[in-house]
Amino acid sequence: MDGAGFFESWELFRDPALAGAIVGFVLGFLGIYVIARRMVFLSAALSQCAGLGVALAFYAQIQWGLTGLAGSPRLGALLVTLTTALLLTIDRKAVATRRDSLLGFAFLLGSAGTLAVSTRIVQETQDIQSLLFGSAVAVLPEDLRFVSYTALAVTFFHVWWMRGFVQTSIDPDSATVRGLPVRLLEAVLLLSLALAISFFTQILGALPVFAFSVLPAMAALRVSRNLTMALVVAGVCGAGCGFLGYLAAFQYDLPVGASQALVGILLVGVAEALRRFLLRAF
Amino acid sequence: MTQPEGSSPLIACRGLAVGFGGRAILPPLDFEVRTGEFWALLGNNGSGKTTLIRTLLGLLPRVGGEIQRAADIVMSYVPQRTELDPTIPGRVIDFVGTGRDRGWSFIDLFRTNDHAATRKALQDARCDDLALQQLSHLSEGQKARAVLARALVSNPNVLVLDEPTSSVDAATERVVFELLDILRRERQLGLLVVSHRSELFIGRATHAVYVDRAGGVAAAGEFDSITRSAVFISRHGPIASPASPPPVSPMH
Repeated sequence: MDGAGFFESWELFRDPALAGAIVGFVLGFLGIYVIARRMVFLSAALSQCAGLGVALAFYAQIQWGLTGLAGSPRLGALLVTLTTALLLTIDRKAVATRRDSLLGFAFLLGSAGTLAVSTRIVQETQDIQSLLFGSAVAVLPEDLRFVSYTALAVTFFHVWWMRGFVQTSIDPDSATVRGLPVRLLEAVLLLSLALAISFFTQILGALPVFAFSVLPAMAALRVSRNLTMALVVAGVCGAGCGFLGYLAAFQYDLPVGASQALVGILLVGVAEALRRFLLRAF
Repeated sequence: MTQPEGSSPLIACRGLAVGFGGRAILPPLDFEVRTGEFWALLGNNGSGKTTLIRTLLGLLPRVGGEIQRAADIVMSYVPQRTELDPTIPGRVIDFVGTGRDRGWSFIDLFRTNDHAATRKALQDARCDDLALQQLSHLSEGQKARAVLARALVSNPNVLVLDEPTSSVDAATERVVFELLDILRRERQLGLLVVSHRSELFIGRATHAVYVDRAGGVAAAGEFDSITRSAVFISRHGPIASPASPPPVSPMH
């Protein structure tokens, strides 16, 4: 099938394509902070911790009979991810190498913990896989609504507090001296990242979420003249990756997550070429 | 060198002990910083200057004593190394604008007067001609001025600089110190500047704090009395004036 076939079947593909675009937009602009703060592996580490939360919730259901909200895998994922993000904010003076090692620690704790807990809940493995890595192919209407509300809340807060987030990311010491609530801003920034990563991983999967939080920002930083412009361009690039990646997956019969990541990589290449052209031209 | 007599202090330290983990690294200090005073913080590398400055700014907890800050104090800080990641895009004018917010003002989406304040800070730091240039394209001397402009944009009455010229050549260093002295007089700033190059302060600094962690020395007072004290001269010798500074002009 070709692109025209995709749009002829729009009703069928609308929800996953729009979910990809919305998630790409939000993680795209959040990715600017991820790169500016040199925490590229943050989303990889947090998505593993989300997995541990899901596994622990299933374990609690089976072993202790917890039901309803108390045994909710989504709540489990959120709690473990937010706790990890909070622990990462405590060590705000950590140099880049130490912060890298902390992210590695969180990644390994999440992945090894998930594997270990999973051996005790074998009968739920299919559900865990589905909740852990989502499916960019089949997005339900309620998933799209969930993604939309989360995206709206995160975007609103980030537009409102953008100046604070930018200043604490550039120079936290000067911001502290000027009386900005740096600890709170850092915590909110990291928690919003954790919230988005935790929720979006369960809908779309770990690979596209990681790709959206790095590649659009990389592309935007190459062609933007300031940070505000980079945030907007990264959001647009992320939305493009999400939507065009889905279209490319449809057209070339590729796995959706991989296709979205590959479109992001292509975008970085195009942005680099554009940057070089602009440098020569002007 | 102007020093308003009898003005109330912007910062008053009494028995201030600084250090880490509850352990003081210097003897207690008593001093007061007033409007228009130029304080030099002297000492070798690793002597405790940055620890003292960071404690004064509230970035480190004090180990003992007290720090009183005036109710109307507006402080700005230029750290020793501002991490300007070259991959992060930003024109000088945008970077300077990021110093405008104080407290919770960042939540005001409709803030006004930004442009005028940013332009004034750029002019005062003698870098208005660089406004539209990318930070990553600037020389170290130009970066030092951009960082200074960002510190000025929120109209501070106390400006604290930690080794502001550590990465520039000697000629640029003298120009920056001359500019700081002009700003102190024009804006009536209380100025605290850390440097291990004590000769740069001659003819400019009104007061000094001398610290030597290894020797267990911490002294504060008028610049001449500190730099002519036996303890200072025994460690550094008499300080000599550098070659006369060139007039302040835009650096490239």
